[in-house]
Amino acid sequence: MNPAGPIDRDCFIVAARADADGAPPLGRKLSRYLTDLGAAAVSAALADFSSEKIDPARVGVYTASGAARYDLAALGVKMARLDGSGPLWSGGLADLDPFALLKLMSCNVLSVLSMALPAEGASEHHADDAPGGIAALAAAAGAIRRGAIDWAVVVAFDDLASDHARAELAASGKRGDARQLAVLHLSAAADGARARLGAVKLLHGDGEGTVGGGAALSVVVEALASLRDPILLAVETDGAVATVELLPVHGVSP
Amino acid sequence: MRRVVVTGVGIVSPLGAGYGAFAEAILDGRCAVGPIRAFDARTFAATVAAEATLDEREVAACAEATGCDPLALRIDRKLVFGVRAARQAIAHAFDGAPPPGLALSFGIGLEVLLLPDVASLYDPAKRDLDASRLPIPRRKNALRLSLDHVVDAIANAGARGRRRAYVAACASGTQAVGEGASWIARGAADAVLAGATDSMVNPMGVGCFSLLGALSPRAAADACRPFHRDRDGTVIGEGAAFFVLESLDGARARGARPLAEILGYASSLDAHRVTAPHPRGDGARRAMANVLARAGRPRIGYVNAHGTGTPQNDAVEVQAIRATVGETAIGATKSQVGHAMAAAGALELAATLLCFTHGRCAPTAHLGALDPACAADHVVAPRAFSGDAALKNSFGFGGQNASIVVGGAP
Repeated sequence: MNPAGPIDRDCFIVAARADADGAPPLGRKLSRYLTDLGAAAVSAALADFSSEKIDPARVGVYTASGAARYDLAALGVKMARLDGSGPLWSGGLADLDPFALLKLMSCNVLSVLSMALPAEGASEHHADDAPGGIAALAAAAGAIRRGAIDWAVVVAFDDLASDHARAELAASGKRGDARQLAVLHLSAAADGARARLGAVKLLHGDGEGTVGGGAALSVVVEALASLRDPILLAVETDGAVATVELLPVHGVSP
Repeated sequence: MRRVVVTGVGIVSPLGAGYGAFAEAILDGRCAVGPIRAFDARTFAATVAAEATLDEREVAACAEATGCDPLALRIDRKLVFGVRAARQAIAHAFDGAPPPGLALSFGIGLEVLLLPDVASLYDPAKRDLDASRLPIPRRKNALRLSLDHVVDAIANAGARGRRRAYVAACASGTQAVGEGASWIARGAADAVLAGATDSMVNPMGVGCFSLLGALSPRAAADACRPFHRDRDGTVIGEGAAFFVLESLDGARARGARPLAEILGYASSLDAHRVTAPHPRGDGARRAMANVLARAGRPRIGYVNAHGTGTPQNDAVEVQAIRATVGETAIGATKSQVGHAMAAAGALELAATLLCFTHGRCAPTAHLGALDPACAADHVVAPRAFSGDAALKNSFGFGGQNASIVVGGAP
């Protein structure tokens, strides 16, 4: 089989963000399918993309997230009416927002972003939890290098500040950081690039930790800010070690 | 690019566990849809599902191996199904232990909220959450069965090499197999355990998909009837299917007997709407056109359709198939095993392999009165396969499309 052609070319980082500051908020039409953080992730990803740049069929979206973070406060109000013996449907579930479950599908950020960009090329959502951001980055870079797409938007996010995450962490005696969001735009072209992406490797091990789904990619975004010389980042996450090689682009200030 | 073959299959389905039992039931035309047994669903808008059998001994074994609470494994059953199917596939492919570098390409869906935990956690007096209310044994998997635990459990079945977990809604399973095959073709892995597991036969799953209007309200065995004039929704199913994929050279070198060859894989996005397919099926057409090109444009003798039985999906898909593949036989396995969500593509790929392992095309059950908008050569009863290759489609919420082309064993 031919997965997408044997091309081998460079991959460049052309934009990076660790928040949605200054990005126009997402309209209700699309945000109703997303959690608050998911909507912020899409806004941040849209801020650095011009739809005039490229054919949508050549744009891919690569996303990663931590676990599903349910809106427990809203659910709790409804579920509190259940005593365990009453009818589940009429006792609470029937009153839920029809999109209650759909909002929690982590791949919805990929879907909504594909509509908003627009992007119609090969895309993936990774559910590897903490290593997911690096897994998505590796997959996006691979797709560009192989020629499957020419532009990729990589988004990793997690909400450890949510009620759900706080309750889980408290139950296990752990604490988490706040919301995590990282966005990278990758291109096959060097125009305006901030860095060239070298090798990206992800190895699973037996690590422990509570790093959320966006944290690992956030490290890459932070490193870009001070890139002067080649950097080999080693990012330890839950059960995995990732390495990401960043190379300055000649003639481009970091 | 290396050729990729299937050397092992493992299945836990509503029609039984094991590829042999699954094949026999599919080709007998059996249907697994019936009243929901997993919980009391009598007051729900949808009351039928296609349920797989949950073996309590396997629940106990998985609880001991993973440290997960048995209650979590009973409510969210995907871990137990997945481990069983993964072990079957590995045992099918390898006489002894699997190779240490066996990679894992895994498709999965949503983490289900464990409602008993939520109810116990909420303090109505304070109108707030109180984590200390969780029973001690439940704290390891409080509120949900973590995807981490599911992926780790599958990996511990014998796939300890490179690992990726994909979520693409209902296209997850097809994507996982396709990506795993791509790793081998590119030389990124020599052997991959690829597949998916899912279960939404629980109050959150059935309840919320009912709210979306995706489920048939009819309490009948033929509630899921793809391409039917009066189709009114799908039926939730569950299960797991895993495949051992290897390079053809690698399989031959160790004397393995391939069951089929993966000839191509492609994915695409509709970029249209979250809850509805593109009206012309543009994304689906791109996925099919690309996979046919990558597979070398073989003569497709059978398409196993996504075929949900929802009014929106089926007509769009048939038109897209006819426009890209041409006139070919079409079957929709969800009519027999329901919609296994993230695992659907993997389960239905197993049904597609019947073209090559049994020489027969899996049918669409309950197709009494065809919707004229779905007119095509539908396989209403199992029939002999004729062609060079078969195509499997999966289309997920959010316009996520994945297609795989498979051929006979080289």
